[in-house]
This record gives sequence, structure tokens and C-alpha cells, in this order.
Amino acid sequence: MTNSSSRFEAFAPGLAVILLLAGAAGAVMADMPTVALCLIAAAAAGTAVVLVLALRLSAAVRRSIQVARALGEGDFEVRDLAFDQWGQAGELTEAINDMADHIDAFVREASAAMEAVRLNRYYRRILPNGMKGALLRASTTINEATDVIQERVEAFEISTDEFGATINSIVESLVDASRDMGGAATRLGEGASSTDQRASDAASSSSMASGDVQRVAQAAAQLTGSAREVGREVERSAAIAREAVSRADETQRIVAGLSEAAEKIGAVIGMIEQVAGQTNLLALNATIEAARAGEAGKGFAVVAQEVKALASQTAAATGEITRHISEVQAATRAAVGSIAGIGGTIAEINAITADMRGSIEAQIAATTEIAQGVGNASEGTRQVSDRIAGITGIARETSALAQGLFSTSGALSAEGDRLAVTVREFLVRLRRGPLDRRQAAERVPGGHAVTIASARGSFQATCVDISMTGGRFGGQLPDLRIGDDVHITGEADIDVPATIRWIRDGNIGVEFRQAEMTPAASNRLRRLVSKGRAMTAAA
Amino acid sequence: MKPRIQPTSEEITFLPDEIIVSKTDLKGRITYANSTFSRICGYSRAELMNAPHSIIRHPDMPRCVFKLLWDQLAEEREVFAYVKNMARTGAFYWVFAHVTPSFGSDGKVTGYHSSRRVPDRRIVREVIEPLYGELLRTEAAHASPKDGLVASFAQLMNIVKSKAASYDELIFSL
Repeated sequence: MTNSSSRFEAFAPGLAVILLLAGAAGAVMADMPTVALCLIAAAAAGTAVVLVLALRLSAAVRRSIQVARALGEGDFEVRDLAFDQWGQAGELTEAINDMADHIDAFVREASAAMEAVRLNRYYRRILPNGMKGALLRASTTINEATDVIQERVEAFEISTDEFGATINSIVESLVDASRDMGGAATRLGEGASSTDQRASDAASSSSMASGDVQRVAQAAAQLTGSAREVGREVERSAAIAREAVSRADETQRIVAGLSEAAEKIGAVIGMIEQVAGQTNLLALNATIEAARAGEAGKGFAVVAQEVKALASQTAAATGEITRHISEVQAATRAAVGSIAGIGGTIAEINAITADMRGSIEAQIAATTEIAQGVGNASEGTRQVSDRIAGITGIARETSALAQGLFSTSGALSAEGDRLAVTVREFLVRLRRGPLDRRQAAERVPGGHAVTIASARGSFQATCVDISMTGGRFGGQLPDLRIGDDVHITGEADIDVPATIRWIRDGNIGVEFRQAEMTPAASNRLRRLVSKGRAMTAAA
Repeated sequence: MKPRIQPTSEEITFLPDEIIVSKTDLKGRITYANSTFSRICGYSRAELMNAPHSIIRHPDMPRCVFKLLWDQLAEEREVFAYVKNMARTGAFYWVFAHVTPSFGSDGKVTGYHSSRRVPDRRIVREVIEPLYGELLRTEAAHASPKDGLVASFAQLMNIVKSKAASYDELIFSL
């Protein structure tokens, strides 16, 4: 319909002019000048119509060429704004605008969907409504690709989450274990040093005990010696006692002989007393006789007197001797009794001595045993001392090992923490690795002043360079640490949250925390980067 | 100005493979409208050109939705929105609008572009109409339009926050 009407629009006026001109030629040949003139006039009018139509179409074509050129150059803003024209010119305008609209819509949709993927937002899909043919197929392909990327990213997120969780749990176990190990090492060290102390105490006690035992051994040896000496003394006193017993027996015999002799003297003294009595009697007779003889007998009477005195003296003397002998006999009897007593006592002593000898022998045996035992004890204490010295050495070694173990456990724990941080950072980078790499190339020079606020204070800095994901800043840096969260504000007073990733040569590198960024902040960042890029390109 | 158009209950529909396209300058004045746009809204292209885009604004639309739209555009971000528009006759038509900034060769925003498609009728009926009704009531409940806008915008943001990470995500999850 459109085609036939278009064809009609294109050919009808021309055909009419040709027919009119042919009619005019016929009229001239038929010699009908009026008709011919009329037809020529009509043909001229038709030619004018053809001309106008041709100019209209030509203008529409020119506008279409402009739109098509702009589209070819990637400018989708240009449209043919000569609306609502009838015929082919209007159709051309609408067709070219419709084409531009569809391509424009597709480009906007596709780039927005891809931009969303770039920012790790996977909910954004190209809306297929209104898309046709190859554009619809391309939209479907891009949406399917986004689905696949989303699935992969989700699977990747799950894997990295799991990996992170596993590593974290391993590190936690490691840190726990190393903390336990540190605790054990501390206790071990304490134990070892306590052992060392106790061993030292024991060593000095044992050394003292050893000295005591030594002295006891000496004392025991002396005791044995003394006991032997006592034994010998007892033996000698037993011998003396035995000698005394035999002497006492002899004395008894001698005293018995003495008693016999005294009795014999007594008998002799009796005879002497008899003689003295008779003598006295004779003297008495002589005196009587002399008295009768008177003067002749007078001298004799003197002799008789003297004999009488002599006899009296003898009698007195014998009496005294008798008394003495009685005394001697009494003394002898007493001596015999005493000697017999002494003999009994000595026999008793002898018996006791024999007993004593047995005791002393037992004592000697006992002290010998004691001495031997003490000797063994001394050897024992010496060995104990040696072993304690060994224990002290081992305790010191253990203490040193425990110290080493403790520092190792500390190092282990620190390594564990470092591992956790490294893995966390690795996962963060891994998740956005391709993005980072892509945008690292888009780093543009900075130069503007910013304020960086952190928990350690706020300070002025200058932006060295910047990208969509992070930036480098220099200035009078306070004591910052890798991993510190900071907030960066520039002249536009827009807060950009970031995390310090490295500190080097007076500069810090930060990664922007895009998830926490306000749209205004992301937008400001995007403008900064694109401005920088434009300036770099211009330079 | 033109006499106020009285909205009617007549609904105009268009085909799923059609797109209503318009471009505006930075102030929202129409610089291009395609034939579908002209056909659906009933204004000629001559009438549409240089007219404010609000020419097709329907009184059932809460103002906070347009605030959100312009806020996002000011951040150079694309916006999706379900919009109820009003034709010259007072009839209405629902669209799912995708509005994006247009950039010049120097990277600066030169204007805005809107592609409008047939929306999912189920979403409009079950989600959008009740939501917009509520926002509209909030706006009407305040004496000053400014306060009403603040309140309804806060309400919209709360609803977004309770359902999804962002407005965009919420729109795509419907």
C-alpha cells in the first residue's frame, strides 16, 4: 500500500507531464493550437509540481543524511525535526527517527546494564520491550551474559566466603592453639624454674645431708673403735678379776694357815702359863724356905722374890699374847669371810664381764653395720646430689625451651593474624580484581586539597592521583595504619569513605568503600575522574 | 495558559514493541518527541516541542516520585519509574519510563532522554497504584506542598529501604 502510494507519488506527476506534453504535440500536429497551449500550460504546472516534490524529497533526504551521519559518528541526540509531513518525505523522517530511537534506546540500555555489571550490580537487565530483530537478540544475549556473570559471581562469592570462613576458622584455631601453647610454655617455664629452684634447694639439702651422713659415718667408726677398746678393757678386767679370784683363794689358804699357827701359839702359850704358874709356886716355896732359913736365906728370899715377879710378868705377858692371838684369830676369821665375799663378788664381776663381752660384741657388730649403712647412705646421697644436678640442668634447658616455645607461639599467633588479614585482603581484591585492574589504568592525576579524618585524628592532604576505586594522597601524615578506616572530604564537602591499603614514602593509598558511598559521592568521584581523564587527553 | 484538563477514567494503551521516546533540555523542555508519543498523548509534535514535559503530568502522580527522578538525574544516574500520564483528552496511560542523561562530546550533560514502555499491568495494579495512592494521601495531608513533599519522599525512601538495597534494585525486583 505504502509502496504503491509512494510509487504513485514519485511517478504520477512526471507521467502526467509526459502525457500532457505528448497531448500537446498531438494537438500541434492536429493543428489545434489552443488545445496545445492549454496542454503545455498544464505540463508546465505539472513540471512545477514535480520540481516542488523533488525539492521536498531532496530536503528530507538531506536531513536524513545528517541524522544518519550523526548516528554513524555515535551521536544519538540528533533527529529529523521536520515532523508531520505528508508522503514519502514524512515517512522517511519518521523511519529515520524511529531507527535512531531504537538504536539510542538499545545503546542506553546496553551501556546502563554493562555499567551496572561494572559496579557489581546484577539486578539491572536490558528491557526487551520495544527491541526488535538483532537489537532484541543482542539485548537477550547481554541479559543472558549478565545472568551467567551474576551466577558466577554469586558462586564465586559463596566460594570465597566459604574459603574466607574456613581460613578464618583455621586462623582462629591456630591463634587459639598458639595461645594455649603460649600458656603451656609459660606454665612449663614456671614449672621448670620452680623445679630448678627446688632442685637447687634439694641439692643444698642433699649436700648438707651428705655432710651429716659423712659425720655420722665417722662417729659410727669411732663408736666401733671405742666399742672394741671397751671390749679389750673388759677382757683385761675379766683377766684381772680371774687373777683376783685366784689371789683371794690363795689368801684364804694363807689366812687359814695363819689361824692354825695362832691356835698352835695358843697351845704353846698354855704351856708357858703352866710353866709360869709352877714357877710362881716354886718361888712361893722358896720364899717360905728362905724365911725359915732366916738370915742365910735372906739372899735367897730376894732371888725367890724376883723369880716370883718374873713368873707374874710371864703370866701377864702370856695373857696379853692370848688376847692378841684371839684378836688375830678373830681378824683372820673376818679376813677369811671377807676374802670369801671378795671371791663371790669377783665371780659375779666375771660373770657380768662375760655378759658385757657379748653385749659389746653385739654392739660392735651393730656399729659396723651402722657404719656400712651410713657409708651406703653417703653414696646414696652423693648419687642423689648428682642426679639433682642433672635435674637442675634439665630444668634450665626446659626453661630455655619454654621461653623459645613461648616466643614461637607468639610469632605463630602473629603469623595467624597476618594470614587472616592477607586472606581477607586477597579475597577483597579477588572479588573485584578485574575491576581494579581495569580502573587502575584509569588513574588520573589529582592535585586538589582534601581533609582525611581517621580515628587517629584529622589532617590535610593533597590528592596525588585518583581512580574510581581508590586514590593516593600525600601530606603531613599522622601515625596511620594499614586497614584504618578514613573519611575523605574535598572542596565539594562530599564525604568519601575509604580504607588505607598501603603507606609508603610519605604517601597513603586508599581504597574507596563504594558500598558505603552516597550517590552524590560516587557521582562526584566519577566527575573528578572523567574531568581528569579529559584533561590528560587534552594534554 | 491552557485550560486545565479534567482527568477521565479512559485508559489509552500501546503495544509492547512500541517505545514512547522524548528528549528534553536540562530544564525539562521537550526537544524531541517520536510519533508514538504524539499519537498516544494526542498533542501534535509542534505542540510538544519546547513544551515542559509536565504537559502530560497526571494529578494522580505523587510529586515525590518526580523529586526522586530529578534527584537521580542530577547525580547523572539513570532512573526507572512507573508513571501515569495524562493525554490531551484527560485519558490516562501507564508507562514504565527509563530516563537517562544525554552527554555531549565534552562529557557534560546536555539534556535528558526518556524511553517509555508498556508496563507490567500486574505490577501497576498490585504495587504501584496502592503505593502512589498512599504517597498522594501523605502529600495531601499536609497544608504546605513543601511539607507534603518532604513527608511523602521520606515515606517512599522508608518503603524502599525496608524492601531492597536501593530504589533501582526494588524497581527491578518487582
